[in-house]
Amino acid sequence: MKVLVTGGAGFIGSNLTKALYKLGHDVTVLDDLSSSGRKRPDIKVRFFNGSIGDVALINKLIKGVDVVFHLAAAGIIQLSLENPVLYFENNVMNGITLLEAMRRNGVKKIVYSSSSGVYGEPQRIPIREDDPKNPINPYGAAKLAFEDVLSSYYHSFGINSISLRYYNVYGPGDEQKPVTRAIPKWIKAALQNQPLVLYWRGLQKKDYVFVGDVVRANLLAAANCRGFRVYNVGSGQGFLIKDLAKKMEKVFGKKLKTVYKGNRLGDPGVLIGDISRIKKELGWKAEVSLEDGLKKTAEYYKEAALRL
Amino acid sequence: MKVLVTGGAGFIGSNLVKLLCDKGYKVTVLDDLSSGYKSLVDRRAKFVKGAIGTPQLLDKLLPGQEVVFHLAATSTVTYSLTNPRKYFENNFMAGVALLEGMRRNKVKKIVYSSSASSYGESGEKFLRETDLTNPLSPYGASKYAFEHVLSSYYHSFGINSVSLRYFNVYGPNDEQLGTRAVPRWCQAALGHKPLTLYWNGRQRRDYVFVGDIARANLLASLHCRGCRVYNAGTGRGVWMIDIIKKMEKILGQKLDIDYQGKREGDPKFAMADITKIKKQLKWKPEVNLDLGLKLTLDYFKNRPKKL
Repeated sequence: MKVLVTGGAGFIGSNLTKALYKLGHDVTVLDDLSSSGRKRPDIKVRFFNGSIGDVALINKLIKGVDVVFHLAAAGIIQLSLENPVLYFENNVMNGITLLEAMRRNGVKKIVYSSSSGVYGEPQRIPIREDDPKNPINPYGAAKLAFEDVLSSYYHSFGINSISLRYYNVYGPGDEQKPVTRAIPKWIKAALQNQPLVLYWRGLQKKDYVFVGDVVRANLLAAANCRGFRVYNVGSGQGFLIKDLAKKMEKVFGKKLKTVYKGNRLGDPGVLIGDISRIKKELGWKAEVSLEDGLKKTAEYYKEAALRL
Repeated sequence: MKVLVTGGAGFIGSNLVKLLCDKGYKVTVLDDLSSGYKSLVDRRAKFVKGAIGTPQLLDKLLPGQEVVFHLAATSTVTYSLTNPRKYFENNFMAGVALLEGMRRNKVKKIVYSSSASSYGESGEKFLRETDLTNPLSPYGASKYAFEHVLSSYYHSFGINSVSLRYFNVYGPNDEQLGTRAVPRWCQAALGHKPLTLYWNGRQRRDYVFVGDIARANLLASLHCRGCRVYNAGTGRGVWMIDIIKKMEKILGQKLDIDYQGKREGDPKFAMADITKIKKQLKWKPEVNLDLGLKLTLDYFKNRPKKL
């Protein structure tokens, strides 16, 4: 199968690219390396350093592709509050450029990395896909807006899509800078014997899903990409952030200090996905436990620290 | 009270501008005249020709405005299938530029003209605001996507909004050179030409008079707190073929029909449940279809040859 992975040099994208490559697919990666900390894939796949908003480039790369995995995005909620226009340009308008190229070249399948940020403050827990969506930051609004675009491209132009709404993804390969996600921050802090920073007194409850499981969800979505569909991709379970900190102590086998910071805006208190739809329709469920996932993630950062 | 109306030279916009002027508002109209006409704008309003995506212009017009009525849009469903990108640029990104302008200039209220095409194919039921939304056309997607932007601008930046999802609006001043049935039929009937009908007239829609929509906008501006969404329709369904029958009755003549088969991007049913807007804004439509069609036909009878 010939596939294009946009954002294939990013955290989830690089994991997905590796998996696709190992499965023997013909992989092209398009990434503008705009999030610092990204680098070219270290495996033998075609790599293009460029933007999905580049019409000429995307028209060249899209030819003959069976499935597009669309992960390229500006991905930091805090920054979306500072520069909303950039987020809508990158995450919506550039995605339209990609879809237009697909349309012109007869490419009919796209697996889209959406976000649980589309829901905003949830009205019930766990959240189901059809629950109300009231995004509370431009990042979430942009992610949801592109789902609407996909809906119209299916009904108007027959482009099939699956939108995967990720919950809190963690795991090896997360080189996001600045680091805003809790797990990589904490692991780095723990490795340097610094305290873990907790917001909201550690009482937020989140749904953590290991990147390897998310990769599998993408592969299953590609194999079942018909119509216009939307799925939650989470573990289906919530963890109190302060319990996550305790799990970290277990993984590191030592006591870790914590400091409580106040509240962080634009960040719902409880976010847990109902994953019965994806279980039923794609046969997917998260398989890596939080403890195992944290171990693997900690190992990655330990090795990364040795490489430096 | 000072208000800005984007798209105020268009069909609904010009009707709203007149109502606002009647109520004593100080109205500024911003319209690029891509589908509107300056001659439709009430003379009491200040008219500025320009695009809403222009930051410098917005920074000139926005200071001191109490409310923005945002109607500017590229609005033909069918054309959105040939040039999707333009629809997202005009209806989505240009709206983001408007909101950024509001943010810079501390304007805190916006009433947004959204669309029933947010919903997609609904079947024969009356649609509620919480029903599933799967837009069929790029036009519908661009209108609905902007509602999400409004949601985020309320929660992130405190900009209050009311989105009004219009069903099929008709009435005087509809000079869109496009695809809407009622104005085309009025002109065809008055010009003794056949009326073009799709899907054999077996589409059931919710037709709401433009004067009622103008009132809904005014009420929305008075209740513009938080981030709200309302259907704006009549809560009744009418078969397309029955609109033609009503026109025949008003005109006292039989009308020729040109049957055209199906049209893409166009759901078979679209009817509103208007319980929410009735309850919360105390709005309900006041002009029934018979009167509304008569007023529309009168407009097309007496309209100036050149706009």
